[in-house]
Amino acid sequence: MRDSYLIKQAIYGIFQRWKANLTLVGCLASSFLVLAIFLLITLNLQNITEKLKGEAQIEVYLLDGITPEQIVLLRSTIQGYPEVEKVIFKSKEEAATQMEDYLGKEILKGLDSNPLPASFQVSLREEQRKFPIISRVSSEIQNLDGVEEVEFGREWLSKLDNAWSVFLTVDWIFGILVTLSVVLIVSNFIRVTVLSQTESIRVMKLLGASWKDIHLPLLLQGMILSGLGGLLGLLLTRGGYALFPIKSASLTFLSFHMMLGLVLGGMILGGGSSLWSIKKLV
Amino acid sequence: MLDLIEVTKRFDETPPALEDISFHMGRGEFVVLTGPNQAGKTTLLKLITMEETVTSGEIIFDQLSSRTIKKKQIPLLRRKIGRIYPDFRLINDLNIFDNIALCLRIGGGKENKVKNRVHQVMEKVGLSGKKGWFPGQLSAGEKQRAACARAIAHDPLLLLADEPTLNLDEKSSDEVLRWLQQINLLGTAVLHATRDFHPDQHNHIRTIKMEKGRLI
Repeated sequence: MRDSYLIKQAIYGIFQRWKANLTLVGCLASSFLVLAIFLLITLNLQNITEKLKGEAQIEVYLLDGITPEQIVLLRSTIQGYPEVEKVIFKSKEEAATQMEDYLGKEILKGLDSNPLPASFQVSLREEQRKFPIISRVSSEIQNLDGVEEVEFGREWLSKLDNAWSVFLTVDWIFGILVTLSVVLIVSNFIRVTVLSQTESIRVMKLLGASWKDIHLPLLLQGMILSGLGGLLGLLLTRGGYALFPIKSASLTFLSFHMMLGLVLGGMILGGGSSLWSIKKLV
Repeated sequence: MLDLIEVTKRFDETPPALEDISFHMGRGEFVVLTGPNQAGKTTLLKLITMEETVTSGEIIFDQLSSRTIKKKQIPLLRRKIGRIYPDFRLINDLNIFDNIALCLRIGGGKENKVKNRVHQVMEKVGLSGKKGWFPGQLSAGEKQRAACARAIAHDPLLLLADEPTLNLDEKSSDEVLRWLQQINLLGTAVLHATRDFHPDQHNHIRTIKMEKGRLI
């Protein structure tokens, strides 16, 4: 059969059983909706995490009485670590001025001497801003001569990393569940379609229909219906996102490539499920 | 064109459905395959279209042998054969036009050529006013005429008619038989399997008799 005729047959088949097909698209859309919502949450959480990690710095407090030569040596040692991007020195005086700026001039009044230590603010390279690396570099700096104490927000970074791992795991589980649901929904639906057309398919085979003549319309139907399900799921997610009460510049929707990937992935899954189902019956 | 050489067909451990069948059919020949129920006529037709596989022996149709044919060549073989069944085997979801067009479309015909040819054969079988009708809306005689039209629309080399008059009244039966002869006159070889054959009425037609899976 000519490809144009087979494509026409696939579209005709969709309209011929439009009520059942509408139900199928609705079921698929709800699966894609769940996946898209979770992807959206993950994406925004990732943005927030990256932003927070970007702000993560190691504060290195120096011993009182440290000489300028020791400070230069210490700075060059820390700057020499491959993980370190930049090191900013903050003198005792700068620390005091900063504190007065934040909390008012009265805060240090009445004290005989400036109790605040000089410090380095150490920023790591972007790809190194992970809890285990920050923790290791901090420990190494702690052991250097002239260092009194090192701080880096150990607890919250650890929690952030753990939360992120949990989210990624849940994402994978959702991805697998949605994949399974699409495969099951489409394959069972195509199975019912094939069963209702068993006699027609038998007659077509007897008349000389090829593998392509029988499989292509059903394969296309599976792909088109899954694609429509994916598209509808995305539209619903976009609608929900537009109505979301909290608006912020840091909130983003799925990128065009992600949406395209979701719809195309759905189409491939739908087509594959159709073939799998037909293979078992024809 | 069609050669059957010592063809035997067995299903499981039962006695053979067909045993040692040999005959030849030339291009444009009309042959009646006759015999009672269970003689093996339908099985023989199924072997020719490769719906069933030969247990031993060989069938050669238009240079395609049952011994060497590949799976993907079977549809090509079937496209050279027209089939008429006692139960018509029309597709109920398709209208009469699309049913008749099926063989032409399977053969990859262009849509305008398909339309012209279908209109032509529908007129020949007297169904031109019913192209939008569905099989369920036709009488048995009309269904068989539609099935005949479908079987010859693509000008097959061989037409296999399996009890084409089984479910028809006398008038419709005569019509179908007349049709088979007309098709044959246009050059298509016809193998007509039937248990109701009256040799006195068709003494010029070659007859092959079968009984219990053997030629007699």
